[in-house]
Amino acid sequence: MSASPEAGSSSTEPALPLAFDPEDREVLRLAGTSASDGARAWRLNGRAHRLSLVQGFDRLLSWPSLRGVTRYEHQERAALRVLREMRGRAILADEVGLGKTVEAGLVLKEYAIRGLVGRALILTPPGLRTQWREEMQEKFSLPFEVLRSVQDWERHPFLIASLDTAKREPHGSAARGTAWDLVVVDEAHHLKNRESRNWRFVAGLHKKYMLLLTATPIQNDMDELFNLVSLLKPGQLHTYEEFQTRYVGSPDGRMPARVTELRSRLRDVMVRNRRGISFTLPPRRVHSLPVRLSPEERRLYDDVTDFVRDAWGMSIGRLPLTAKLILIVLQREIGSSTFATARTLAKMQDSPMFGPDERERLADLARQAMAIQDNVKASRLRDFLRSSDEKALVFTQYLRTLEYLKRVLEADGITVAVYHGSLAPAAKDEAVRAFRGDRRVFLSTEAGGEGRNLQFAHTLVNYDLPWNPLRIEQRIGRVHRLGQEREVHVVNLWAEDTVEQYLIELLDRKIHMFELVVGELDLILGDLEGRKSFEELLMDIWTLKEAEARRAAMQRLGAALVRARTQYDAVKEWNDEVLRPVSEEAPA
Amino acid sequence: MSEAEPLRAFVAEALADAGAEVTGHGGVLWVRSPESLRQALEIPETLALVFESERVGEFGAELIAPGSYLLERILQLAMRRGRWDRGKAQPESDRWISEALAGAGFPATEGVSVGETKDGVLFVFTFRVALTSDEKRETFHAIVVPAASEAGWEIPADLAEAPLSPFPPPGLSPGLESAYEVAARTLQEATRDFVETFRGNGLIALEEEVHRIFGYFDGTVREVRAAAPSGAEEVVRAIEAERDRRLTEALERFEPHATASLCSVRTVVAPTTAARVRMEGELAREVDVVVDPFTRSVRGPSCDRCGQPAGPRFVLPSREILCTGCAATGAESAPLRARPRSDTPRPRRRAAPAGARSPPGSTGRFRFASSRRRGP
Repeated sequence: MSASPEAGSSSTEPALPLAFDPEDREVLRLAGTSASDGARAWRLNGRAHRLSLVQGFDRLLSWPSLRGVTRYEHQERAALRVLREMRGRAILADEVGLGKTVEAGLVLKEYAIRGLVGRALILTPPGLRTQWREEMQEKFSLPFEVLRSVQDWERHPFLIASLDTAKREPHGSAARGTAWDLVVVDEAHHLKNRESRNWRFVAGLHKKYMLLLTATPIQNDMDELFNLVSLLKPGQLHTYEEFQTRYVGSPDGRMPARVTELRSRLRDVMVRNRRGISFTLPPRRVHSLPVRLSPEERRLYDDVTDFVRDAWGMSIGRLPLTAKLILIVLQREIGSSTFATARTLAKMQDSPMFGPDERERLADLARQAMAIQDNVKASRLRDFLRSSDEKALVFTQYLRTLEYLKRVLEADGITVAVYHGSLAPAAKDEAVRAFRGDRRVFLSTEAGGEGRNLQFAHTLVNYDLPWNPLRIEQRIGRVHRLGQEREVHVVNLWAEDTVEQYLIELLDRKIHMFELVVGELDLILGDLEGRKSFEELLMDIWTLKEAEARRAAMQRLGAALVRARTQYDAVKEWNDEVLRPVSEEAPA
Repeated sequence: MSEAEPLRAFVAEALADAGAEVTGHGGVLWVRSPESLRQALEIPETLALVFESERVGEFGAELIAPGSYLLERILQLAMRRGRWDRGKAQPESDRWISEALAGAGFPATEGVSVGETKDGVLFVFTFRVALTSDEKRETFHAIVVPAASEAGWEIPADLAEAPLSPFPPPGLSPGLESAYEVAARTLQEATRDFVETFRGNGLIALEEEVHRIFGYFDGTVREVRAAAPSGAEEVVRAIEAERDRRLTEALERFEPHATASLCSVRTVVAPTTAARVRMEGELAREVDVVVDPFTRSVRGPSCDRCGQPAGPRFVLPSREILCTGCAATGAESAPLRARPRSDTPRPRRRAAPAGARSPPGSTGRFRFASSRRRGP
C-alpha cells in the first residue's frame, strides 16, 4: 500500500516524527476565543510563510540584497559548490584578486538567510579586521563587530578577531566555549603547521561550518596542504603517514606524487578559481607628481619632524602610549596638509601628556601651521585636474585636508562629490550618484567607497599616502578590480625630502607595488613584518636622528621587501603548479 | 513581471493591512506608518522602499529583498497577524455540484440525484514544516478537516485562501482541538516520504563523515603506537579525545530534525450537499457522496483499494473509486479520467531511496517561484 495523504493510513510510526510546536495550542486557544485580524491578514500570513520558505540551496537568495557586489559567475559557482557539495566546509583558494572575501560573504549570507548561521566568527590578520567588518556590513548587511574586549564574545554573535588575539587568554577560552555555526579563517596559510598554537586553536573551536581562505595553501612543503585539509576534514587525505607515502614524491616534501588522485581528493574540499586566459585586468599606469614645498611649508615640516624625533626618542618610558600614537598621527598629517596638522598641534599644546617646554614648541608650531593659507600640493593637484576632462577619485586620509581641497577645487570651478565616514548612508549614496552623474571629482577620505562600484572612473589620485600600504591598495582596488575595462591611472602626489618619499621609494621602486594585483601586497608584507607593522617599521626608521642611520635602515628594509616579493612569486608559481587542475578558470 | 514584483505586492499589502498608507510611484513604494507600526518595524514615520538593488538610495529609499532586515521584520509582522479567520464559502456558480463531480471523474449529470444541502464546518490548518541538519528545507501545507471527522487531507494553498463571506462569529469553535489532532496526523503522513528522504540523505552524509573520522584517528593512533610502542599513551589519549570531539560535532551537524508549527487556522462554514451517483460499467453501483463548494472535493465512499473511509475520491476509467494516494499510483497503470489535483512540487533532489516519492506541499513557494520566472 502506498502512503496516503489521508490520516491514519499508515501502519508504521515514521522514523523521524514531526515535532509539533507547543505554541500551536496557544494559537488554537486564541482562534476559539478572540476576534480575528481579518481575512486579508489571514491570507497575508500564509503568503509571508511561503515567501520565507527555505528550499535547500537551489539557488543563491542573497544577490538582490547585496550592495556594491558585482555578480560574477565564478563566485556564484564557488558559493553554490561550498553550500551544496562541500556542505559548508571548504578551502577557498582563489588566486588573489578574484574575490575570496565575496565568496565567503555569499556563503555566510546564504546560511544566515536560511537561519542556519546565527553565530559566526571571522579570524583575520590584525590589519584586515576593519576591512572585513566594512565589507561584511556594507556589502552583505551582516552585523559583524571587531573584538575589543572579552565581553564581546558574549555580546556579538557575529564577531571578527585577529587570530593572534583570539588564541590568547582570556579570549581563547571564551572562543572555545562558544558553539559557532560558522568559522572563517582568512589568510589560512597561517594554519600550515599542525603543531602550532594557531592550528590547535582553530581545530579546538566548536563549529558546524568552516571556510579557510588562502591563495597559497602550500608555501614550503606538502605537509602544509595535509595540515590544512585535515583541519577541515580529517581523513580526506588519509592519515599523515599514508599521505606521505601516497602523495609526497620527494624527501624535501615539495614534490607531489599520484597527482591525479591527490587533485581528485582536493576537489572535494577546495575551490580554486584562476584567471582565465581571456581574463586580465587592464593595465595600471603609475604617475609620480613630486612637489617641492614652499619655504613656509618646508620650515613647518622640518620643525614638526624635529619635534617628533625628539619626543619619540624620549618617549620610551616617559610618554604614555597614547602620546606615541599622537606623534605618529602628527607626522602623517604633516605629509597630508598643513590644515590637517594645525588642528592636532592646537590640541597637543594643551595636552598634559607633554611637558611645559614641549607644549611651548607645540604652540609655536600651531601658530606656524595656521599662518599658512595655501599648500603647494593643492596647486599641483589643481594643475593636474585641469590637464584633462576625466573623472577622478582624489583620496586623502584627513577630513581637514578634504575640506581644504573642496574649497580649492570648487573655487577653481571643478565640481566635487564629497564622501567621508561621518556621512549618513543616504548622503554617501548620494555622493556616489552625484559622481556617477555630473561631478568631476570624488573627494574621499579613507572610508571612501568601500564596497561601492566606482569602476566607471579610471583615474585615482593619492593626495597623501597612508603609511599602511594595504590602505593604498584598498584605494586602488576601488577602481582597478573585476569589471574595470579601461586602463587605470594612479597618480601619487608627494613632497620631496619627506617620509612619503621614503614610502614611494620602498613600495614603488623596490617591490613595484603599484603593479601588483590587489591582495598580493598583504601576502608579501605578511612575510616581512614579524611582530611589527609596516607603519611601525617606517616610523622607527624615520625617527632615527642621524641621516646616515636612516639611509642604512631604509636599505635593509628595502632588501627585506625585495626578498619577500621574490619568495611570494615562487610560492605562487608552486601553488599554480600543484593545484592547477583543482582550479576553475574565472570567466572574463 | 519582474522578479521583485510579487515581493512588492506582498509588502504593499502587508503594510497597508497593518495600518500604513502606501502609495507607489515608479519602482518606489512610499509608506506613511502609524505609531504602532513604526515601533513594530523600527522605521520612521515616512519611508521609501525599493525592490531592486540598482535603485537603492533613490529618495533615501531602503532596499527590500531576500536577506534584508526590514523584509524580515515585515514577514515576521505578517506571520504574527492573521493567525485565525472564519467565514462562509459561497458557490461560484449554480453548477458547482456537477463541476465537482466531473472534476473527480464521477458522472456529473445523468444518474445523479442531488439531496439536501446543509451548512457544514471545515477547519483549515496551515503548517510550516522545517527539516534541518547541516542544511534546511521547509514546506508549507494546508490541511482541511471537516468538523467531527476522523480524517483530513491536504489542499492547495490557493484553495485554502479562497475568499469567504463574512459569517457571524460562532463563538467557541467546538471540535477545533480534536480537528487539530487529525490535521497533525494528516500532516505527518503527507510529509512522510519527504521527511524520510531528507533523513536518509542526512544519514548517508553522517555515515561517510563518521567513517572518515574513525579511519583517520584510529589510523593515526596505529601510526603513533608503531612509531613509539611505549610512552605513546598520552598522545593516544589526546588523539582519541579529539576523535570523540569530532564525532560529537559530526552528530550535531548531521542529525536530522523535523519540526512543524501551526501558522494559522480558518473555520469555514460551507454548504455541503449529499448526492447519490449511479456508476455504470463493470463496477456498476450506486454511491453516496458529499460535495462542498470550498474544497470542491467529492467524499463519502471508501477507497476501493486501501479501504480508507474519508477524504477526496477520484474515479478511474475502470470505475474504481480511489483515495488521493491510490489514485496517484493507480494513474501509473491506468490514466485517470480526471487526474486528482496535484500540489506536489518537483524540486531537484539528491538520489532518494527506492520507492521514495516527491515531497508534497510547499505549493505556494513553487507557484510564487514559477510566476516570477514568467517575466514581464
